[in-house]
Amino acid sequence: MRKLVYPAAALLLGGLLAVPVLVFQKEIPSEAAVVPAAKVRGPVAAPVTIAEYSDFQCPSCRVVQPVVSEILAKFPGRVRLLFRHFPLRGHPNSPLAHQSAECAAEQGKFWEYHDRLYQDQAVWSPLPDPLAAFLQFAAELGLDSERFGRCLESPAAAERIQADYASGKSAGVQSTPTFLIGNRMLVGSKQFFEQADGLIRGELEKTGKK
Amino acid sequence: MSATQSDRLRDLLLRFVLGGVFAYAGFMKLTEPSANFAAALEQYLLLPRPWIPVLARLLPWAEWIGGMFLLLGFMIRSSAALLGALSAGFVAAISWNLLHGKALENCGCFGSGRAVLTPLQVYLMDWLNCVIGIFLAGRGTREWSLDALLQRFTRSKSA
Repeated sequence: MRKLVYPAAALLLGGLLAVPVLVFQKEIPSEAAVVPAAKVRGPVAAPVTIAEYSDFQCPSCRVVQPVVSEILAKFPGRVRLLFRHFPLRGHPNSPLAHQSAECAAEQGKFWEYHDRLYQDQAVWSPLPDPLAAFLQFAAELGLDSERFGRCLESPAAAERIQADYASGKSAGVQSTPTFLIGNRMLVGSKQFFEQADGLIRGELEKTGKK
Repeated sequence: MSATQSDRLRDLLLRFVLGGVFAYAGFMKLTEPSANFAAALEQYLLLPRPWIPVLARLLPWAEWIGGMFLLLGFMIRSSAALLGALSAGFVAAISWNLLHGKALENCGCFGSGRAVLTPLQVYLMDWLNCVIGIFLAGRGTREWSLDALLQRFTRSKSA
């Protein structure tokens, strides 16, 4: 009797313990419901979306940028990159960096500003107050300085950043860079480097557009 | 309280602590995409890279089920031994990193749970868990446990 009771109880208990996991497991959204065109790189109508949750002050996010560009170049017209703000708590200059990027987006220069932030990350990241650097970047990109400065105080821009952050948290994003391709998540530059190509090909096959 | 009673109470408390820590850690990781834990495991130099995706999926289940079994007092010796062995594995992996001068940035222990520990705290916690697991596996005390219930049940059926 004892020989049956324990294995049966173990199976039953194990099965029951799987239930709360299945109930509370986070689902990765397969595609962004709303895609703001200003923060899409590549054709807006491309069949495959890479959503990148990124922090401008994150060194790994900077390191992965060339790999992301290579992937986009490898699948011209078939892949779009959607940027999502995910400023991490441990990076004190991140909130202002992300706000600045949103303000550049308002004036149609999000990606130029994005690239500039990563390119000069080593310069502004250790500064106790990077505001002057961000204003300089805006001026050098030909943005309206007054409008840019007003936007930095704007709660609307902060809300858009917060909305991205919340969407990331609900999808299970914990660190940066994190990429969503289809319903798969890739965390960090290593996973992206090793798996993005295969995942994108898989998604293209599903859409029938190799 | 007699020495035996206090021993049983101590064992019960240790069972709840060890079981609770692992159940929480496992559950937090299981309810999130495994890619997060895989990224944390990539920091451990001791782990062969091809194993990481498999470990990222299996380890949280071992923690959750082992932790809950211990909390409920089911297969106490085996559950405690499993959790002690897991802890020993974590100690070995962290020690290997320290020997090679690569401290962990994020242990990935609790997923996105509220508990955020420093690398030193994680290391000490794993040592402590290892000792508690081995201790409980040796003791096998059945105070307030499913094992005690099942034992009574099987004895009454055999009688």
